[in-house]
Amino acid sequence: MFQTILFRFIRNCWGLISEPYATMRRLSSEGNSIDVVGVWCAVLVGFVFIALLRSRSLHPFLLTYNFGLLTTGVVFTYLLTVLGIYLVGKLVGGRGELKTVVITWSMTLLPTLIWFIAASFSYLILPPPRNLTMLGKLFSLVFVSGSVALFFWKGMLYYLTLRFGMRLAMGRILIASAIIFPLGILYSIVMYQVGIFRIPFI
Amino acid sequence: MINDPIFESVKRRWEEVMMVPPQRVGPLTPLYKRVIPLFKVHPWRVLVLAAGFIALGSYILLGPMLVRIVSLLQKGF
Repeated sequence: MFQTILFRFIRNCWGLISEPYATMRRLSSEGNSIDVVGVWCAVLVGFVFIALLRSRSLHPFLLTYNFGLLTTGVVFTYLLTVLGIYLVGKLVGGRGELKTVVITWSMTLLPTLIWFIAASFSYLILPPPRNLTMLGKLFSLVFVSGSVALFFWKGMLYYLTLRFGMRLAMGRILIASAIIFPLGILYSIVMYQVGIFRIPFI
Repeated sequence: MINDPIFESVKRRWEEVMMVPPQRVGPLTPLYKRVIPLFKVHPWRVLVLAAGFIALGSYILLGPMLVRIVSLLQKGF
């Protein structure tokens, strides 16, 4: 079972990097719970590492609190987003199923996880604040480039979720996005003020 | 023929490909058909290049402010 989850997770990761269009199309037709479990296992392992860095201590209470806060926030956001995409997709005439959206949207957690892990590692190796030397500027450029590239990747997977998850055409995807984006921005502001996400990247 | 594994595989692939109708974006359809293949296979070539240009543009536009933004982002995980 573990081998199947690991094999499919690696296959999906490689597919989303090299052929995101074909991979998302395949997942929307033959994906199942094993694919979702693989991504979530990776997310939870990543969050343990992030909780360690966030709390800057090995105190069990602080670790559990940070891990619990982050995981609850991400699970809640994920469920809300899946439901939002499904309902808005149906509203604009989508023909997809909730199960397909659950599978395809879980794949969009991958760029998020990579960003969180990269930011954590960079925090560990080169703690902020950056200074205005040549190396500081160069690092800033690389960090921004990486973040923007991951953001574009996430955007692409969002488009493919609506395309294959809800079977929408471009016009309807734009209408759905005009409804989803303002709601997402509002939700991010609330999450920021509550102190769960400092960066609205989920 | 119907029970042939190759036929079954081709049929399954055909159904997968035809799951959604071809995308049409009005007068922009030819441009869409030319640009989208760049994102279908190994999109990283385009994404990283575009991200690099955006980062460079942001630095030219914001200057030292970008370095401060990165410091904030690094604490954002």
